[in-house]
Formats: sequence, structure tokens, C-alpha cells
Amino acid sequence: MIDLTDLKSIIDEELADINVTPTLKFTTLEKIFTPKYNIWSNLKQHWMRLTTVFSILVLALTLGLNALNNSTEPEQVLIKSEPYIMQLRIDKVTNTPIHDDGANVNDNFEQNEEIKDNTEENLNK
Amino acid sequence: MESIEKEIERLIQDYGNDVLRIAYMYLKDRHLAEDAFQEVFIRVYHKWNTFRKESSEKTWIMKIAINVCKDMLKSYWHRNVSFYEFEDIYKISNSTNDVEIEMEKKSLLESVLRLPDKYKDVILLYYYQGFSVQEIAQILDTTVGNVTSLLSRARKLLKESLEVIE
Repeated sequence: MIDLTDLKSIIDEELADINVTPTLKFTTLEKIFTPKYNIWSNLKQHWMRLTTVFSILVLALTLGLNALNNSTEPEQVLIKSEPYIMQLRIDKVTNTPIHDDGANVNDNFEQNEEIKDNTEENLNK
Repeated sequence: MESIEKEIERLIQDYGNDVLRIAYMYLKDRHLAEDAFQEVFIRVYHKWNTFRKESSEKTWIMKIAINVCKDMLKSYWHRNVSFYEFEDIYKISNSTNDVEIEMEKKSLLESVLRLPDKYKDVILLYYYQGFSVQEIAQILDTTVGNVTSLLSRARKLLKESLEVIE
């Protein structure tokens, strides 16, 4: 029965032809010590930081432009209108509201009631 | 400059094969493994000055190697382009007469490679690279207790998997 402790020998046996070739070693060293590749490698390695810096720059630029626009625009003045207050006069004697023309609401009501009564009397006749 | 070049050459000489093979175990493709190998030693070169020698060189390089492999596996291109068969990674030697042993070896390797990443990490680092539990904890940025429990669960999973195959 194969044991897990044999794993190393199994893998070594299976990957016997996976070795560092002189070409691979040379290419790697060349990539490490070539300045042109170094720039690209730095970009690849720090792309996240660069993205963050770029985002902050864009944000700062947007806020700056916004502030600049606000300072050149004429100041807006907010005109507040007086709230409308309905005025109502009350007849102190009868305690009923009085119209603007001076007539008491109850006067009209009483007048209407009189007309109604007269009509009923006429009908009975 | 010359001294660091010699240092990198020495590191490639000492740990190159381990890096290439572990990359091959993860990426299952020779060309990708070679790309990972190059990326590992480029990162080693860039981070060499920050290496505080709190762990061994091998532990530090393996940590970089595993991170590079995982980054490559996570990349959009790798997730969407699959051009290899899993079976490509192993081969049965025709020179061996004992077919049964070869089949057992094949099953074991296949089961290890089919393990979920977190279990595969600990099994390969412990049984293949020969790291201690403490070193594995350093490599994987986790606790010793977690590594022990992962190892135990990985062994259990492997046992179950091999029983099913048998």
C-alpha cells in the first residue's frame, strides 16, 4: 500500500523531466537585469497603487473644477415669500364669521330661511 | 549589482527546481510553470532587500511561488482559457513491470491534485517540500493550529478518495 510519505518520491519520479534548463535560467536573469523589463515589471507589480493614485488625482481634479465653477457663478438669492394668512373677522355678539363685505354669515342664513318660509306659506295658500 | 546577480543565480541553483515543480503542480502546464518561475525570481530580486531572514530562504521563496501561482490561477485569462487535460500531469512509466504499484501511485497523485486548494497546499508543502507545520503556517500566513487541522482533514479526504478509487 502506497503511503503519503512516498508522495515526494512519486512526484519526483513523475516530474523527473521538469528541471530548470540553462535557457530558462538565462532568460530569467536577462529579464531581471534588463532595465526595459524592470519598468514593465514595476508597473505590473504596483498597478494597484498606481490605480489608487490615479483615482485620487481624478477626484481632486473633479472637486477642484467644481469649486472653480461655484466661485465664478453669480450667487443665488433665495427669496422667501410671506406665508399667506387668512384673516377672519368674528362677530363678537353672535360669535360668527363676518365676510369682507361686512355681512354676517348668519344674516344671509336668516334671510334665506325667511324666503324659504314665505315660499312654504304661499304653497299652503 | 554584481553581488545581487550572483545571489539570484545561487537562489535559482538551490531552489529553482523546487519552484518550477511546485508551479507545475499548481498550473499543470510546463509553459505556465516557466512563466511562474520567472515571475517568482523577479519578485525575489525586487524584494530581496526587504527579506528580513526571519524565516529560511526556501520558506520565503516558496511563499512567493505559491502566491504567484495563485495569482496566475485567479487571472481572468487562466480562468477562461483551459487548454490542458488534467491527465497530462502524470504518466505511467512503461519500464515498470509492477502495474499495480504504478496504478496506486497514479491514484495517490491524482487524489492529491484533485484536493481543494487549501488542502493541496498543506499536503504538498508537508509531504513534498518537507516543511514543518510552523514553516507552513508562515508560508500560508495562518496559525499552526489551522495548518494541523487542515493536514488532518486533507489526510481524511485523501483516504476517502483512495477508498472510492479502490
